[in-house]
Amino acid sequence: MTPLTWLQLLFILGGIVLITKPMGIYLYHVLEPDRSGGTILDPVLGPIERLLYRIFGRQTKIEQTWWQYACALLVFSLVTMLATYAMLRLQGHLPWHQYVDALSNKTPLVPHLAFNVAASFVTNTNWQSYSGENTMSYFSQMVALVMHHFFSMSVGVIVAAVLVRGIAGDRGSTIGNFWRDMVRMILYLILPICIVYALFLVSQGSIMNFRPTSTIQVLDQSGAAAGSPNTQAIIQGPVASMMSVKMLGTNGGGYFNANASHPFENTTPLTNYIQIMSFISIPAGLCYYLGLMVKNKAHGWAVWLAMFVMLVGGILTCVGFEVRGNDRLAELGIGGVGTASNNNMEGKETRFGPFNSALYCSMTTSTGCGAVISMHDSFTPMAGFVPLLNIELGEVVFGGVGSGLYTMLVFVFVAIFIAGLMVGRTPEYLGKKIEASDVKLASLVVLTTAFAVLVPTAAAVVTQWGTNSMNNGGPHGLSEVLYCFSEGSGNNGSAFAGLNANVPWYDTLLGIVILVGRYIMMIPVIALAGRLVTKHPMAQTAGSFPVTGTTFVVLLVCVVLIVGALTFFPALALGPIVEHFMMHSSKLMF
Amino acid sequence: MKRFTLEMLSHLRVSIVATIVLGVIVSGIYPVIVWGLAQALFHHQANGSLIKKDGTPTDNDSEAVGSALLGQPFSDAKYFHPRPSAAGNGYDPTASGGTNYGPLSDKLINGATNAATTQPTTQPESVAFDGIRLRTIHYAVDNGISFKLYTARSDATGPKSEIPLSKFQDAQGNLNDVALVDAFPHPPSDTPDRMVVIAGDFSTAIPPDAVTASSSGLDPHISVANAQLQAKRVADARRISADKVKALIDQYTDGPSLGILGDPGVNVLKLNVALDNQK
Repeated sequence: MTPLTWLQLLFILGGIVLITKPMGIYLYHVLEPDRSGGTILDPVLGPIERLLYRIFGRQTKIEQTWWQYACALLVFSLVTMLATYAMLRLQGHLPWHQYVDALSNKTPLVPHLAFNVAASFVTNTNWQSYSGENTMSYFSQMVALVMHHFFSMSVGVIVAAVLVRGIAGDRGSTIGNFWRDMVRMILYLILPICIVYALFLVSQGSIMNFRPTSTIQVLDQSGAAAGSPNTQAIIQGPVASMMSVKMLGTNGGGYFNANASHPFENTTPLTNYIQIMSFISIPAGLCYYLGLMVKNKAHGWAVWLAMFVMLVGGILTCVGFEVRGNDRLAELGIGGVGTASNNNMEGKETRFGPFNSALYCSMTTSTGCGAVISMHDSFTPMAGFVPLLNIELGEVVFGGVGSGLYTMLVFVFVAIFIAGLMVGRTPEYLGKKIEASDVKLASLVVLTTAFAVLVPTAAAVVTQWGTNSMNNGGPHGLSEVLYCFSEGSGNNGSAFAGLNANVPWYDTLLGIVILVGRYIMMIPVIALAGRLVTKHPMAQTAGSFPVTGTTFVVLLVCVVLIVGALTFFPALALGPIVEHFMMHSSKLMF
Repeated sequence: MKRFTLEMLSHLRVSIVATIVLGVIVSGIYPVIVWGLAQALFHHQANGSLIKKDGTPTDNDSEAVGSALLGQPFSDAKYFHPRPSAAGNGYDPTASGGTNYGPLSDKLINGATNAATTQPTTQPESVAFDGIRLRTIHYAVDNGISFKLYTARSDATGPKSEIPLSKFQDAQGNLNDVALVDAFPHPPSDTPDRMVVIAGDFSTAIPPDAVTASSSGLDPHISVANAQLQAKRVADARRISADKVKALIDQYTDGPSLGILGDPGVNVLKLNVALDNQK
């Protein structure tokens, strides 16, 4: 790490610290208009908001119980998922299909792919086993997919809000209204920010048009004899509007196959920096929102700090190993392995380099964003270990919008439960007793991850359908498959992209894993909110377990790491860890 | 069960209405607003940053020689060459992406060949993937970097003896890629006593970006070191001074954003366009 890279790291970490409070305050105003008096945009957009409630009907007036809220969420998600499935299957009959017809032989998309895409986007995962520019029409991208960018991020945030309302509530029975929460998120938070953000991206070079593919005669026409192409077909389309909401909502699903390494998606290191700030802003801000709601800002910051510590640890590990370079390249005349050889440029863009690529890799897998500015499959083994571990910790290191906080709060319950066992007291969180049913719900969330990742991975690596799709052999191949199902269950969406997952078995099984990973974790969380909101908080005494301060932060971090390690260490040992030792001992693979 | 179904159905009407109404807002009104403002305020960028032969912006596909933001193939000696690309056959925007080979992949490091076939037609052996080792040799030969070829045992015991590069060159000096890739080490299948060919003792370190494929396959940049090493070849081919070329390199180097973010890169297309418009 050179002084310049340390400076960049500080710039990014400083940015995360600074963005937390403003975003937290704004989230509070968006999500709790009754308590906070609403946002500054309320006078302007209020009429539109009220019009939407009139159109939606009296469902918007009810204060819902957890059961009503969960059902509204599930039905809405099902409807939007089916809508996307239909639009993708009918792509050939919808506008702008003719531009992509020339490139794809998948118009309409085949059923297993359409299912996988619909499941993936409705859950905020945005795993893409397809190549955007030659599979999706402008209509599909802008409508079928971007719709979910908005909806899934809103759903994630409001489920976190619901859990926080439950924790903060006192002898209540209702936790909010699903429709009001969705409308407020979209109208007051996402749309205003994304319009400005998209225009910023265009100013830097991102495209935004509806023109057909541009066929260009390249400058050097002499290459034809050697087989080099004379023309270039430059894909066009409504990219910038997709990029802003993709990043703000930790969605991650890009317009192009190369995702955020494509110059039209992420043109300069400045757009890269803003992208990072945007996808961490809501997860970080939600911690502050938690603090505001429970009237204990120190607790909000304590949860934030636990996440921050793990984030920085992951970044330093990933960057440290990746910048060190690939030993195997040293003997090829490329330059040796040292503390900063930066020789592993395979799968990296010049403008980003190994440092920024590894930094982004670490952050995109901590946050559940899943966009990539480099090919993770080509990272050195221990640098590739970090994204895997980040995902397998449960996407709680800031995590996805909303899902990061509510999963981390589940870990908080588990941590307090364990602490209670250790000191022999009834566990209580902010004055509310944590009972057996609460712990069961929390355990369900934690165990789902383990099953949803390990069982399909095991099945894939011992069967033909599983191993046929691997791009690399040996431990790296295992890493590809493990990554695939880990990110599915964790709803991350990035990949060791060498895996050819656009085949019936992978598309279908992964689609199911993605849905399980999202909803089997979300429903218990809403149920937990419903249980918590009815409880009356007892007074805090000297014997109450502290939820601020070093002990709590250390306990929380340890619980997250130990649960993750116990579940996944055997698989990780067979994948990236073995590969790291092989790199040192000069063994090349397939 | 009945209670569950009734509850679900009660949300169905609102869900459908909400999907349609909110869908129109986020997938119709929102992108149109962005599109309108983008086209009005940032027309050049919004349409792909296309440039003409003289380097000025254009909106017209038939006038354009490329996008200032996307790399494209160059092979003539008078142009700067971009990085290797795994996007389609190279710099194909309809197939963006990288190789996704792992760092220990034999294919990545040493390349691979397609065996000769007789069915359905007679095809000689050909290079399936060139690999980093072959690329370093080509880069050194193209840009006047001296190196030596050695033959040694594949288990790296025993002496290595130098062999002349001419063993792998034809009468015109073109390298025989297939023979080279076959002669390289291939650890997964090598016996310890197999004699392999490797290159070494490069007079200058080869820049990593010159021999590795980018993530998008459309990287418009090369590293400054890469550009500096190509400068002499380009200057000689155009019969202009190397200093003139190096000055242009500086002019078309995109520095780190805000001075500190990211790595500098030389925009290959813009540089080559500027070279063509010199004198």
